[in-house]
Amino acid sequence: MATKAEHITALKAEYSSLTKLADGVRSTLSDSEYEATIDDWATTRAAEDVREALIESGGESTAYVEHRTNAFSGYGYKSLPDQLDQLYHDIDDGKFGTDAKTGTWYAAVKAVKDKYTKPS
Amino acid sequence: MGYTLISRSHFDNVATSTVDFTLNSDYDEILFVLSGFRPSANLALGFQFITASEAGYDRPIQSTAVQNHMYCHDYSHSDMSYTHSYDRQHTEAASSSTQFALFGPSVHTGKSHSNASGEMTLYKPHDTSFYKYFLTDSHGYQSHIHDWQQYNRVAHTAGYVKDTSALTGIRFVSSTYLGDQDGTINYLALSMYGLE
Repeated sequence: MATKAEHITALKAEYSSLTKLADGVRSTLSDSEYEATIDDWATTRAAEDVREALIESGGESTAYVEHRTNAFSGYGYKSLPDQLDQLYHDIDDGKFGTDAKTGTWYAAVKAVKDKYTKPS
Repeated sequence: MGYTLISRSHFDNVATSTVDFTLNSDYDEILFVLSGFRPSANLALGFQFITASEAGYDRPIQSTAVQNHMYCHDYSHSDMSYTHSYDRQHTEAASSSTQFALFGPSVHTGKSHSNASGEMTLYKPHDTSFYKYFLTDSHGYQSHIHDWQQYNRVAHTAGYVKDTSALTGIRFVSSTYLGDQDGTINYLALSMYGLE
């Protein structure tokens, strides 16, 4: 995780100058525009570092629902088919008792799995 | 009479911090056609507006976005999802906001073929009696860690600019999903059309 100052140093090393496009006409940012832009980006990146660290490591957050359900982060809930697959295997392993294996849902899923088998 | 091409911004491999278009009162309906977009990092294309009385692109925007995606390497990873942080809320922004609304999904630049395209409509940006409404429909083609983990991501954003002043310009930048500008647009093909 980098600080804002470290991001500023890195961004200035990456971009010695910046250009913009207005109605198809390209021009170079003035010194003040350049400094303000680099400062904006560094602020964004420092905040993103904190956010990404929380997503990876977990912790209390007002955005907990988003972190739990984000399909792209790799740290939230699995997809519904994957969750159902986990549930199937828990039932198959007997973790819900033997009665669970007599349910219609388990029987229907198992019937499909038995019909189309995975190569060994 | 059909749409008239007003302006086009097109560049390949040129790091560009902002892309601006002037909005005038000649056209009631504005259509932006995005043929291609690639940022410098894993970012989305964001947009904001300016009026004649403002110094910056900072109008309060209320918008919401929804997206669906399909991982095409198997059948298990697909959904339509809503993510609160993609939204912009004018109540949080008060009278001005530096947050950018989202045109479409982010483009993961780790893969050379990732890209995004789409359209945005904007109604009567010059009107001085009501808020200005916009809609986007966009797609992104990407792959995850491996090339075979390809997925198609569709995003829709709808919202309005909470300002009754005439909008005189629109700015496009590389943006995080939270609406913060970051990095450059490196490839862009974006055309603005108008209907009188």
